[in-house]
Amino acid sequence: MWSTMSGNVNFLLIHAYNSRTEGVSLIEIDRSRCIYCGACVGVCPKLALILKETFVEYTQEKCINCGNCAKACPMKAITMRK
Amino acid sequence: MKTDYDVIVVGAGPGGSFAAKNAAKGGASVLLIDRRKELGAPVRCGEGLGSHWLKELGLKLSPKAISAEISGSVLYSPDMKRAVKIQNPETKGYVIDRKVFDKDLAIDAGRAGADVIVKTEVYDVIKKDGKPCGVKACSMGERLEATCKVLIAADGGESTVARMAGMNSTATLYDTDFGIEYEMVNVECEDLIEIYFSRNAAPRGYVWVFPKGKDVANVGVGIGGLEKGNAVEYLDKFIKNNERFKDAQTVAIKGGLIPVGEPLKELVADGLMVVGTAAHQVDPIHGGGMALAMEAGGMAGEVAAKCALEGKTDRKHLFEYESRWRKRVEPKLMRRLRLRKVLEKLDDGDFNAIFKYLNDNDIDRLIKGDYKPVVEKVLLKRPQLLKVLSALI
Ligand SMILES: Cc1cc2nc3c(=O)[nH]c(=O)nc-3n(C[C@H](O)[C@H](O)[C@H](O)COP(=O)(O)OP(=O)(O)OC[C@H]3O[C@@H](n4cnc5c(N)ncnc54)[C@H](O)[C@@H]3O)c2cc1C
Ligand code: SF4
Ligand code: SF4
Repeated sequence: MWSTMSGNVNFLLIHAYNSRTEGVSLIEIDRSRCIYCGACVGVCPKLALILKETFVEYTQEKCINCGNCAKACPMKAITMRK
Repeated sequence: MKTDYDVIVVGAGPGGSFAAKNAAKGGASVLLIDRRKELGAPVRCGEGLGSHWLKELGLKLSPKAISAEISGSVLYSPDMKRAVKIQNPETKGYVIDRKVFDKDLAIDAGRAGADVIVKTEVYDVIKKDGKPCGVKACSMGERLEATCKVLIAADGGESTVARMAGMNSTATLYDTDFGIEYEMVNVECEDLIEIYFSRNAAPRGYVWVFPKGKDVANVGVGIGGLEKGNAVEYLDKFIKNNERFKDAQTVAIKGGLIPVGEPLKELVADGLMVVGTAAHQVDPIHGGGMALAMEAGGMAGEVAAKCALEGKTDRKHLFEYESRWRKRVEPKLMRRLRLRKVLEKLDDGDFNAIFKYLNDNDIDRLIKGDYKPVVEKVLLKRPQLLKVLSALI
């Protein structure tokens, strides 16, 4: 998905390599479904998600793969990758 | 630009704008910051507001902020066989337009003397010896740092500011509902708020139709965070299965998180106050939070100004906000939380039975928190609910 891809590209540029997850995003956010409501941000225990005006920013190295965001999203815009 | 303030408020929703207005009126220098370029949008609200709040909060609605006037509410049983209509002075209200309303409130704050900046996102809290003393923000490509004596976190459901300041305000799935709503045209409605209870249609929540005019309404669903699926699936199903919406067209999508559990364990820390949805100050039964945010924001702003001007902004002094709020507002919310925890144990059969046995007066009593006579009446007909309902008496 291009939206998460662009996040990954950023991530790879800044953090080069993450041994635990090998730089692979643990969640997928479908930007075409997101309405920027911030529900996922409110339930993320690690502040791995931050709401911007028209998208959600995801920092993969903070994510603990808990799945809260995918459960919460009222628009079903988030899926867990594993 | 000035960068040193007595009070900085993050979030210009109802809670934040009220806090900023009251702090400015209290004589403090105030900065009110919001991420949005257009306050109120995107809307994350059903936009229902009881008219008794206008008096209680000293609030005037501009004509443009009012979408529709409401005379009461009607509650439907899961099988739709029974509708309970409640119309009295306390059920009068408005469905407002948050895009106008939120901006009006920020205008009030600006008029009271607060500096207001929009399209500015707070991304970090500056701390000195562990105490919040300012914010780092990004404003149209520029980094901005501003310092303060008291920081008020009124940043809504995300509640990141309190967390950046060191307070855990993460919403839990169990104690939070997640809602989605379509503003739709070609939906015939009266001047009544409509509520459908049904575990099938909206587990641990409800379906609502809030009229915004004769043929326009906010149609929404809220569900508990631990329930199966996501809110939008329930809303789409409800609309699809309901003849009434066959010509309806969606003109806006709104949604968000609704904390329906206990308010935060702490509302203040050294140099910090938390207000509104960020502090989980929301009604556990209907999920309304605008008025509660304004009420809390008003108290917080007043206390913040006083403490900042006296130079005493440690937890002990800021606690005046928390103690006032816990005394005046919390007991009411905790009673309603008890009711929520009972209702969530009932299935649709129980609800149908309760609706069948209760008259309109009984339901009105239940809503007002007068549980005992109603519970006794239900138990006569449905004794198997004794264990669940006894928590209410
Ligand atoms: C689906 C749904 C339906 C609802 N229906 C109703 C209803 O009918 N009636 C009712 O009374 N309540 C309702 N509520 C609840 C109500 O919307 C909230 O309780 C109310 O908006 C809370 O106000 P607030 O000021 O605390 O936060 P908000 O209104 O959420 O405002 C927070 C503000 O902070 C800003 N912000 C957040 N983070 C930052 C940052 N880092 N930097 C800068 N700015 C930031 C945001 O942009 C936003 O403007 C509903 C909620 C939902 C989700
Ligand atoms: S999976 Fe958990 S930690 Fe990761 S982004 Fe979602 S809520 Fe945050
Ligand atoms: S909860 Fe879903 S719709 Fe809301 S901001 Fe997060 S991804 Fe977008």
